Amino acid sequence: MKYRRYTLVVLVLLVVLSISIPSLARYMNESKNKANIDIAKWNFKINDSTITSSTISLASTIDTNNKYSTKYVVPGTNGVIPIEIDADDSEVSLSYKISFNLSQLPDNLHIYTDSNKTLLFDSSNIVEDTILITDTNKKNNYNLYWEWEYKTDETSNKNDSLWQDKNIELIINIEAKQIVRDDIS
Amino acid sequence: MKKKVIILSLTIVLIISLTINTYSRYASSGNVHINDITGNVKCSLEITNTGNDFSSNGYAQFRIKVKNTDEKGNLSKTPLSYYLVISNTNNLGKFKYIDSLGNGNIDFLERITTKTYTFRSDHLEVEQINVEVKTDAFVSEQVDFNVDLYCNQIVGK
Repeated sequence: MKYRRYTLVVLVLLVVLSISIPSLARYMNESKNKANIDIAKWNFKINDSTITSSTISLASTIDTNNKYSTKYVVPGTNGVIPIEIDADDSEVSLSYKISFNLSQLPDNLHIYTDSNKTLLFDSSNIVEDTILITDTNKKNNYNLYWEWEYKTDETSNKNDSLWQDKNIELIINIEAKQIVRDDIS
Repeated sequence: MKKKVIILSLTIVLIISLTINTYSRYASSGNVHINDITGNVKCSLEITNTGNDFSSNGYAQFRIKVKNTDEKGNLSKTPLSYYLVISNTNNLGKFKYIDSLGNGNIDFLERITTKTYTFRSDHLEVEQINVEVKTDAFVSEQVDFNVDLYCNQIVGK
């Protein structure tokens, strides 16, 4: 009687194990003939680079129609920072988040997510989207619009003057994750 | 027998927990660093005061050269506007300025502010302003004075 009960317990555990096994097949295709495993490719690129960190010179993004300076970042200048999310070589769907990580910018220099410069891009703002394996276009492009406002009030003059010959820095963090079944349901 | 079953069960649980570890997803993250060194406004002045320089009107004078560079000769990265304020510091002198185009103030004053001039940022520019000095006593006296230069970034020419 006891032996039967133990057998039953073992059988139940085996059933549990056999149920869990199909969930392992999410990223793999097992070939019975060759007994090898193909792993889906994950190739996520930011601005055409697979490296985890890339650098853009803000001066290189200055709007050349600018009246204040076309070469240097000074009050009155503005420009567009392009961000390209490229999942062309990935064989899985993915979701990603673009967030504001750190900034060392003059008070009057702001980043916006729209060309009308009404939507501020700051630490409280996250851009989220997906690129699905079924999408024909697997590249998403974003423009971040920046402007160092030319203001002549006393406070602005004082603050802007403090930012002469200074290093300005903005870090944009981009996180991408493969979309799995649990995310969809 | 019971022991065997427990061992077997533990093995199965262990296998399950091991397989759970392989249940992962692809993920990656990256940073885009955007940086630069900001521009600047550079201007400087040089005063030539020989002590024996006289204007065509017979007044003692000193000359001010204003440049769109710093003292080391580095060019301003933005166009700029500037003006000078000249004032005495011992209540003795009065001043009258004349720029290279002949502009200036009509009466001698203890404190004068020049008109506002502009400089570009694509090449060196120099403006010379001559300042005549007189005292009420019309005798040889030492006149102490200050020259302040105020520069502001402007829209390009």
